[in-house]
Amino acid sequence: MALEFEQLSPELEAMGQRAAKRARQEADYLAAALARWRSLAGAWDVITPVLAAAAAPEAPRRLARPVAGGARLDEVFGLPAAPERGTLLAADGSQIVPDRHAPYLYYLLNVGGLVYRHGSGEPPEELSRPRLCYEDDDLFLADGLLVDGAIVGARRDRAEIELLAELAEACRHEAAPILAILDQRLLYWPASRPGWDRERNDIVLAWLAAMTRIREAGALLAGYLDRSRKNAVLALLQALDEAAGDPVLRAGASPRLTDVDLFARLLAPGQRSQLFADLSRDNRQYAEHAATNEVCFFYVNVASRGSHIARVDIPRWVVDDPVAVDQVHALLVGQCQILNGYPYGLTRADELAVVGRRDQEELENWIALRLAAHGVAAEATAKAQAKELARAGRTRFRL
Amino acid sequence: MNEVNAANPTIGRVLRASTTGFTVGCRVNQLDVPAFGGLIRADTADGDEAIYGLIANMAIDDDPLVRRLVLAENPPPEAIGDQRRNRLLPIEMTVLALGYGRAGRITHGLPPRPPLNLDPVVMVTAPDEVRRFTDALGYLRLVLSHAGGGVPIDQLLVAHILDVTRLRGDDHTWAARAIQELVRLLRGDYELLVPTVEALSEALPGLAP
Repeated sequence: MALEFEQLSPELEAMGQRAAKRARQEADYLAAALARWRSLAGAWDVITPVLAAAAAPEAPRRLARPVAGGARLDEVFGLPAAPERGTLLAADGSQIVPDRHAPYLYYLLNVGGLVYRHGSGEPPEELSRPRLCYEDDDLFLADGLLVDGAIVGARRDRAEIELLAELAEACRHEAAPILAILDQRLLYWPASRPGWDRERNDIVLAWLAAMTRIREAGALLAGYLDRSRKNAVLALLQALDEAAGDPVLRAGASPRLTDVDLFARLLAPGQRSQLFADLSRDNRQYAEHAATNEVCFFYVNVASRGSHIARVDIPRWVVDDPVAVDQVHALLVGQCQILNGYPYGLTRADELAVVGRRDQEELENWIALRLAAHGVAAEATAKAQAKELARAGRTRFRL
Repeated sequence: MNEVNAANPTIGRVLRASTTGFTVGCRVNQLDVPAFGGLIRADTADGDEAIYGLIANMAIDDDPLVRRLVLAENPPPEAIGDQRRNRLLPIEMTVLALGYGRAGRITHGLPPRPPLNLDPVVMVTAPDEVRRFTDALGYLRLVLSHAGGGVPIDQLLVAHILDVTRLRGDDHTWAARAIQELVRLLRGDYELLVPTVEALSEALPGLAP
């Protein structure tokens, strides 16, 4: 039975009306927030105690801490000149998750990478690394549960940053600056799951080790996030608003609003925001592991016209070098302007990594052939077969 | 039938085929060799047969990434080179099947069976092989049979006759013979004869009537 859209008509109409009302409320809130941000941007007598309270281990809220103490929070930085030459390394990943209804249990990780020699005029180098995982240790947790998409995704994330570290080491003598990028937050903590703590911890340690390898290879590192849901700067603003007295931002705050909504009103094309760091337990642990791995971030308008705000995570070793920050800023905006909105290197790395439905079908044919060659017969569950029949499409009768 | 000859460069592989023709896919870095009107040969995997034809169209496809790059104000050479060298968008060439070779003998006419996907395709530029295929002119009738099928036959014939004349060592005697044959074949079809002869007169002054 196809979806009966007629039954949804009332909800669709209500949804449209609600969205329009919400948009008006959010616009009003953001106008007030912007005015408050500007009025409090240099009020360090308010900012300092708020940050001190938020830095306490028991602090309830995750706030953004400005990296440059004493500077105006609303300062914006124009697009610096891009370096004439440079080496951009990009990695992205894709996966096929295990399906308990499939004829055989396996999962696949595929990581794509691109070495883009900015200013060289040469075509980039591309690579992809598929890995088929079918052993019991790959597929089952200690309690016997089959790994799910979240766990396979975390293993893929680890493979992505490890590929970047490998590329950074291999390219250490290429034209500087060398910038390694991921479409991923750098402050990486996969969600916890029962029976998975040890591997989760191992993945975070591997992530930190890969960050360190990239730094030691002399490369810069950035996590590029399109449509970031972070609201740490808005949270800082709300805390300042309360601390300054006569708060105006209590009413109308919506969980839908993010820092991107604020900076879309602040940043002209090419401009970036101040640098911030997360005041959070996770980031403290990163810094405790290696001070250079503390994760900071800025927002940047990567559009050539209008507004397209991205968040860029950078580690402390990049933040501590103003020239490196300018290089990250300029190279990423340049990459985004090639395709008008998203870094070219990440687009291509994604293309190299992505495993589509047809790839999956072909891989499963190959698996079936190899199993059959060894006398192993395998069959999908009755449920999977029935779904295949039902979803294959219906034939219409024609007169 | 497969002849190992350095003068016949590989230009791609068969993508799809039928008895009357086939489509060849090639990479951008192979594109400097094939040309509209050129004589090509597809070699079957077992090496027993070869199918000859003329390149009647060349098409360069796009995809969403290319369309986005076209909109960029000034796409960098690295990205353009990436599209051309790394991304696997084959350039497609439509080939009219005109003859086949078996046991060292070339026959003009439709082949008994089409080539298979991925059979290698070469541009026939070795003068000996060009002569062996073009000495007899029976294949021109097959070229004309495609008139009205979307192929610009007059331009195809001009390109082909110019190419073969050059590959045969500026053989103007052959060119004059080919033009006479075309005039004979087209004497009842003035709509095609007139533009063809005009184009040939412009390209080979003194040879066309």
